[in-house]
Amino acid sequence: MQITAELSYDQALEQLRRSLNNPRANFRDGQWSAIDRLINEQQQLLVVQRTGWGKSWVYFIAAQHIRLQRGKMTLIISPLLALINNQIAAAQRFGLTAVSINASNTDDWAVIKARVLQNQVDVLLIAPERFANEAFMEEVLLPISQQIGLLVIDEAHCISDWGHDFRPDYRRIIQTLQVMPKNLPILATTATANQRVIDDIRQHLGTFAVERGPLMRESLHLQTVRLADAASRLAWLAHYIPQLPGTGIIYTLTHADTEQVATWLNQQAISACAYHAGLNAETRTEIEQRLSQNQIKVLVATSALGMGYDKPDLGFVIHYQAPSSIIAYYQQVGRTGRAIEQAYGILLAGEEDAAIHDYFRREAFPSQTIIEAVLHEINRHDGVKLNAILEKINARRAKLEHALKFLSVEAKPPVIYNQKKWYATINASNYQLDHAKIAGLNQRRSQEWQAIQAYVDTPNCLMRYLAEALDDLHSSDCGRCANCRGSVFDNQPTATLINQAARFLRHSEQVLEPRKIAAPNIPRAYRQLASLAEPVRAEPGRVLARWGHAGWGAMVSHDKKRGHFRDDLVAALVEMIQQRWQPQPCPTWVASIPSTRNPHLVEDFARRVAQKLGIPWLAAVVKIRNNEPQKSQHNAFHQQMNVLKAFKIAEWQAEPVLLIDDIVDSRWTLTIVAKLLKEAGATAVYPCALASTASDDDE
Amino acid sequence: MNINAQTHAILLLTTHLGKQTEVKPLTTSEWGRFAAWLRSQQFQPEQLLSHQLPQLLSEWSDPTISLERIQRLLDRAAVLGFALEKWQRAGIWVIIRSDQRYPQQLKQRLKQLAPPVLFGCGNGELLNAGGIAVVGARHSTTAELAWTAELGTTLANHGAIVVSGGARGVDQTVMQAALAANGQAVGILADSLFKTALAASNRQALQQQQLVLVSPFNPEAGFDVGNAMGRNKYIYCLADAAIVVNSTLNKGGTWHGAIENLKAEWVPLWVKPNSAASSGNSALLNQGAQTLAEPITDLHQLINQPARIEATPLSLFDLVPAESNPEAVGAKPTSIEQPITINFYQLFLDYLKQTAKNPLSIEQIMENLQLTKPQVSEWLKRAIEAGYVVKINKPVRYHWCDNTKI
Repeated sequence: MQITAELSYDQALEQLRRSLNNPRANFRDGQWSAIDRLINEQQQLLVVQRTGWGKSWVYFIAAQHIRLQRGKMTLIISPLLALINNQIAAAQRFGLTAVSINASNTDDWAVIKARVLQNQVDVLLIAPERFANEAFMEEVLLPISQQIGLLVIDEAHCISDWGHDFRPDYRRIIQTLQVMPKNLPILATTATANQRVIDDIRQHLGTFAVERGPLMRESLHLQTVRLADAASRLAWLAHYIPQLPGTGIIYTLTHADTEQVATWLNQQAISACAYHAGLNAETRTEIEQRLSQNQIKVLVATSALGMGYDKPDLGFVIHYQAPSSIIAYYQQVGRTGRAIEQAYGILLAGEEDAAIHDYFRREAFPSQTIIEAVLHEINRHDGVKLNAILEKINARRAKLEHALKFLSVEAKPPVIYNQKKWYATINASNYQLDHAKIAGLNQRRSQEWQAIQAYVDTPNCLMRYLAEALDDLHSSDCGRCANCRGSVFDNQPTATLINQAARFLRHSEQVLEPRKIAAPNIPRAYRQLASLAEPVRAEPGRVLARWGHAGWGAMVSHDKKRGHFRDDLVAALVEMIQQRWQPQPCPTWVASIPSTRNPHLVEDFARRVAQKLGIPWLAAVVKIRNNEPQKSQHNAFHQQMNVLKAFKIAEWQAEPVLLIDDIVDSRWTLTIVAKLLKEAGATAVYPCALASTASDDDE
Repeated sequence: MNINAQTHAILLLTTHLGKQTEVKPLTTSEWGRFAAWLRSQQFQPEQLLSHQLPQLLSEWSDPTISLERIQRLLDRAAVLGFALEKWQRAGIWVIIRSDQRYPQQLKQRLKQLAPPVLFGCGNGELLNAGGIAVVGARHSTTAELAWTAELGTTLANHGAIVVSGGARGVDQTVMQAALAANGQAVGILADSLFKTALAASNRQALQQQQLVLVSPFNPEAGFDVGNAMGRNKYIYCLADAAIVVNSTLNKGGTWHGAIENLKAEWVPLWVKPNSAASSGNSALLNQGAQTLAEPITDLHQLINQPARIEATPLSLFDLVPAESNPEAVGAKPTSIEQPITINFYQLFLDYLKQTAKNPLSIEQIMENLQLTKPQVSEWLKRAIEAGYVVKINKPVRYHWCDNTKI
């Protein structure tokens, strides 16, 4: 029998020095001990060490040994999409052939799988969300798992329920780890776990040994700034970012904010890109590379920017809004200052932060109602597809997917996805949403939010506050943060710059793309009505603001409740149309979407817009069926069905028309009315609305 | 699913995983051999998962179970972990022989040939509650299926657990009928446990604890004739009596399963009367089964047949040639008062011929035959002198010389 040789300290050090091509290289504290436990004692290990500690040395040395002595591959599960090439190059220095399988290279899966099966791959990197992809699990991971001799889980704090950004995919991973035989060495690593998270991980993975090191960061200058309104914070960014060293990241809470902040910075001659989960994997990788290669000054990102994103010379991390917890903050600010002397971590706290986090907390868990509806529906079938569930349940696709994912990763899941269909399991009848646990988690999240507020306001050392909140017992005052040393930023942004930012916020209209494809599964009798062939489609339109947001959004929501849109909004819309949008050919008449519930609100507004534009308003669109409010329809199927046969065209001109509504969400009403107008004879239809309530995760 | 290290070790050694077959899992009898050795060394199977494996197995040697094979089987940890995670999400659990829920009847009747692992879904307690096995063909006439459904209802109404194979035709019909009548059923599947556990037709019964589905094979394994045949004996061994609805003559799973039961005398076998020439039912009567009298009024009539003999394949009495005990074939009552003449040394040789093709330690022989050490040593000495058996050293074991004749 092939006997698994032990790896001695000297051998490991020799391997390290050869790989780094540095005869004087040495292990850092804890690195050898982790390798030793992993390889020689075949342990399953959780390592908590600060970012930049060098966990990759540990798993690359271990991977070398596993390859040479056992002929096996190392599987690394990491949320990094970024710098996959850097990881692969780093592995190469260690003499390892590394490849990645991810959403952006599906075409290569077959080739990579074949290479793995032929034992040509030493390290395989995959993202945790691959675990939720049935095709990947069945066709790639299960067949190649025979080759796996070492498993590495990066950012392991995500497997804790208490982790700041608990992800359902990680729950699949934890359930896998729980049933994994003990003779597979496993290394779980994280840079950000307080004692509660570690305890929680250990509760799930009872047999894991834990190693932890100090979390204090040497080069990081921390500061917090309260600036209530968005205009002041935008001005702050435009004023200070050019003074900050190198490149950096700005974290915002929503997709829309990344776009808005990036647009503003670019207007201020600061090169910036927006980055969020709404972008496809390829674009995200490309943007990450632009930052890595210093082609942009700053990346404006949501938390979708990988944990695992690794740019050692990042000069600053700024938060445009406060993050949800200390763990989240440490995680994100920890991206900076790893290989440079001076780095800045600045937290700008705004007035909207609390409301956004409140919303996130409310949306974190599916409601009892939707869970009951989903279980009831799935239980009626012998396997059912998602689209068929959507027909029966009037819920947003994203919400339904969220509920299904939540249910499918429960400890005793009541549903399972198999062969592209959802099935009820034996556990479906006894399933109970664990309200007590959810309440506990919500309460914990509220407390974590309080802790980050206290961080913003503390007069004491900021680094020490973070370290202590993460249960690092070795902490002391850092001597570098704004509270230890005073602010490094003294000159304030000018009033002109703040006014400019305020104007920018009022001019941040969005393009309104009409729907181009009918919802799936529309009944045959309605197909003709629902079809959206090119000749009946609207032109791209505009939305003036985001409902309730900075700029005009707050005014729109205020006026909608009062039942009258003030003239400022008329002027704003007309200014936007004439000075910035300038649709060609120019519309020669105006139509509006009628409502039976509030017949005059939109019509009155549209008439005033028409008057100011100097073109006629026609009572073109007539409601012929008293349909349900569109906002109570939650997915494409129900939204489109609800507006079919609801309107007719009473009069028109065979000319381009501006079609006005007040609030747009799913865009189905505008899409279908535009179709009717074009069928009647309008030559072009320009949809236009005051505000959009569409959320970032809308379909 | 709480899986301990022992279960992991046994799964790694005995379960087919994935499509690659470059290393063959241990067969049930190979596992029996290896397990006996582990026991004799006072090792626990979970120690196989420790990093000291090489030292642990340094004394092991076996012609078909090489150390390399064991190592490579155990090296499948990751593939097992991923598979278990998937299975448990479908509500599937795993039990091994030492689990309390493991059917004791299987252990008692099959000894080392009892499957080392059972995958299951549903009410595991039904596995130790006996029942009436009902078997028959996949392809049956409408009339036969109607009769089968009625049988399922009757058995349920009498409070009997229906034990069957979950296959199309008779198996599914009798189980569904019993469940529809609020009865209980045990399905011993030869394939596709994962899919079957999710099927809408079984869902309610599984959820309401009326049904358990078990399989000794990988829950995602597809249909395989060998597996289907191998599984038949578990159906009989889990039950207290068996009913054959229809069997082809001299072929097919139902026929072979029934004959296997008659030979091994596990449970009384009842046959639905069928005089058609193509039917194997009458032939089974000739082989020792009994005609099922309808209506069934009392389950005890089916079960408490004095004819039944506790048969244990590897005990000395099993090796008594059938003709020396003609009563057993007909499953008629046998009594210890009848004069029996047995040459125990000859039986001992028969046992070695059958079992010691691979070397056995003296402890294994003692355990299997329930004999004392002096008795075994005495007979071994005699067998070696006669040239039937060879002794090998390091460690000391004995194996049968095939070129000799008894």
